[in-house]
Amino acid sequence: MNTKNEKLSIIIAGLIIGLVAPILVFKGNPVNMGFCIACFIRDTAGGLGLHRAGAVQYIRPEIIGIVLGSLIMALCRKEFNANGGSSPLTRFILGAFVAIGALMFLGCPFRMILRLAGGDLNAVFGLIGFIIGILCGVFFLKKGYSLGKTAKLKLLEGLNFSILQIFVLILLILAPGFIFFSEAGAGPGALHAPIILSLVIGIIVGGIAQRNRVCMVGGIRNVVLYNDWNLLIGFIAIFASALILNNIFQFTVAETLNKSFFKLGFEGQAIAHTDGLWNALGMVLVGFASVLLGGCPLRQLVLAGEGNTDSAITVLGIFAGAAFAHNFALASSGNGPTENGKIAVIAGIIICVIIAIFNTFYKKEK
Amino acid sequence: MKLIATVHSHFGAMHIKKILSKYNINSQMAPVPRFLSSSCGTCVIFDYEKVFPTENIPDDIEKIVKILDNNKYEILYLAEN
Repeated sequence: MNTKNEKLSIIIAGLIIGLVAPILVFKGNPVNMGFCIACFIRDTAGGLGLHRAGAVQYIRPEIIGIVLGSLIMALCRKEFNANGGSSPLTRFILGAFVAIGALMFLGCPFRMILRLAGGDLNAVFGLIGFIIGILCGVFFLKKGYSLGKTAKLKLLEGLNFSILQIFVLILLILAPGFIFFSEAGAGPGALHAPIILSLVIGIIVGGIAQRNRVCMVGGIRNVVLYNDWNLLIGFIAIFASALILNNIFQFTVAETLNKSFFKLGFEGQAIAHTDGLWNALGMVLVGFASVLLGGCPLRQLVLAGEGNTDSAITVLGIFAGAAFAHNFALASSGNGPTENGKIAVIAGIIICVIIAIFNTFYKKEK
Repeated sequence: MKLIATVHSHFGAMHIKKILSKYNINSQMAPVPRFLSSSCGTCVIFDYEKVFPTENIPDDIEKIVKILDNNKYEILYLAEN
C-alpha cells in the first residue's frame, strides 16, 4: 500500500488550502476570518433570514463552492455515492451543537488553525479544548460507539444537497428583496471577497479536500487510534502555508490595505475574545460532537457533496444551530461569551455524553 | 495474501477483528487507504492464505479486497447494501 504518495498528496493539499484564507482576506473577507465553515454557514443562515443579527448576514459562496467542488471531484473519480440513513436526527442535533460550540469559540476547527497562523494565541486554548473533545469521542469509539449503518439511496437523494447549493447561489446572485445582506460597516457579514473568487476558491478547496479526505478531527483521531499521522500532517501543512503567506502580506500590503494579517498575542484580535476557559470549552464541544459525527464541519460539507445525506443533515444541523446561536444570544462576540452561551455549551457537552452512552452501551435496535 | 475488509463503523472493525482473532488470524485496524475508498473510516487488514469464503460474512463488512501491486486490488466480497 503506497502511503508515501498519500502523505505527499495530503501535504500538497494542506499547503494549497492554507493559502486561501490570507488570499480571501486580501481580497475582502474579514481579518482573522478568511475562511471559517461555522462562521460562513452562520452568515448564510443570516443571509437567508434564519436569524436577524445584522452584522452577520451574507450568503457565503465559499460554502457553496466546497459542496460543488466535492461533487465535481467525486463525479470525476466515480466516487459519488448516494447513501445515508444512519441516525439522521441524532446527527442533526450533534451538528447544531457543533455550531453552538464553534460560535462560543468563534470559529470551526479550520478557522482555529487559521487563527493560530495569524498569531491569535486565544486559539491555543481552543486547540487544547478541541484535543480534549476528540479524546472524549475516541474513548467512546474504543468502547464500541456507532450511529448505525448507512444504506444506499437513490441518485437524486444524494444530489439534493448540491442542487440546494445551486439554488442558494442563484439567490445570492439575483439578490431578491427577501435575502439579507449586512450593511457596510455593520460587521463581518459586510466584508467579503468578490463572489466569483470566493466561489472558485470554495470549489478548489472542496475538490482538494475530497481528493485527500482533509479532516481536522480525523487527523488527531487517527493519531490516537492508529498512530497514523497522514491527516494530521495535512493539518500542519495548512498552518505552515497560512503562517508564511500571512507574514508575507503583513510585511508587504498590510499597511496599504489597513489590514492586519499577522498579530501575535491575545488582546485585540479581530472577531475573537480572550476568555480562555470558554474558548477551550467551546472547542471541547466541537471536538467531541465531531468525533461522534465522524468528521469536522469541512469534512461534513465534502461528504455531503459526495452524496452522503447523513452529512447533509449534519450541515443542516450546523445551519440551524448557528441560527439558534444568534436568535438565543448564545454566540460570543469580541466582548466575550454570553451567559446563555455558557449554559448551551455545558448542555451540549452533557447531551453529547448522553448520545455517546446510548449509542455505545444501549444500541440494540428496538 | 494481504486482505482488507472495509466496514460500516469503527465498532464494526472491532467486531471483525474479534472474529478473526477467534480463528487465530492476525489483524490490525487502520484508516481505510485512500485508493480503496473516499471514506475516512476504519478498515481491518489481515493475512489469509486459503480461498476466501464468501458465505456467512458478517454484515458489518462493506467489502473485502485482496491487495495487489501499485495500489490495485481485487474485490473478493461486496455487500449488497
